[in-house]
Amino acid sequence: MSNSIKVRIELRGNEATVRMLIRHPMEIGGRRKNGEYIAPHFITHVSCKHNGLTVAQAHWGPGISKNPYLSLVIGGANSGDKIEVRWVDNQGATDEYGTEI
Amino acid sequence: MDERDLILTIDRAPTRRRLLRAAITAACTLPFAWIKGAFAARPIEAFRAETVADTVAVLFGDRPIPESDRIRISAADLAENGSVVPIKIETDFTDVTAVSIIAMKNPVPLVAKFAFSTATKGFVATRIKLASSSEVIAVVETGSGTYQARKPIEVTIGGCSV
Repeated sequence: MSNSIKVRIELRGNEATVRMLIRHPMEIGGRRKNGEYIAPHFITHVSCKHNGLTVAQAHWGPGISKNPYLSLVIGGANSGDKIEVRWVDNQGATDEYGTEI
Repeated sequence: MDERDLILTIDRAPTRRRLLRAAITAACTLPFAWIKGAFAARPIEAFRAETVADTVAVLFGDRPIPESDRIRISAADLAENGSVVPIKIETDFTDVTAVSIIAMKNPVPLVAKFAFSTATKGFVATRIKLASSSEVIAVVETGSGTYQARKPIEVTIGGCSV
């Protein structure tokens, strides 16, 4: 389904450390390359759901590095719980990925 | 031509030009309206702010933001490449609702704002860009107040052009 998001989850007790890596240029824009103007292209939102409930929402500017990495810790997690990650960029592109702990 | 004349000229612009202008305006603003609907409360004004003072004013108003040693920023003191600076923010506050990362000398000082539910712990790790050596501020909003921590990070090569 998704090929831009990689998620690794580590469960310790009932705390799940969710680490995600998203493939994205995170281009600030406004500069020129070979004389051509580069448009800004960066992820503006990332949301993380745990069993269908949004547990974290990230609002990003272009100050996040290329191919963003994000790690969060979610409490009250159990083995088999569903984790969903979704991002949207400033050009309206989007991708999502779902997995189980 | 004085200002009044200029306004009249603009008003008399041909219909086609006016139509084109309206179409471009709509094309530029509509996608943002859609995104806004899908994810509420993106701090758009804060991402437009170009100074740290403006960013803080937009995000936190005139709320007091005392420094707290319960917030820990982990990052290398010296980052060789400003375009990839790993940073980790940890806090033992239990009721964290949001964590914001502000880089003092970035063209857009607000790097990210993370909004958390009650299930999410006060922890976030990511990689940010730093335009030059500067302090990074982490602002943690909790149910009982807003707190900050700062850490200076030295950058060898600025990450502004990547």
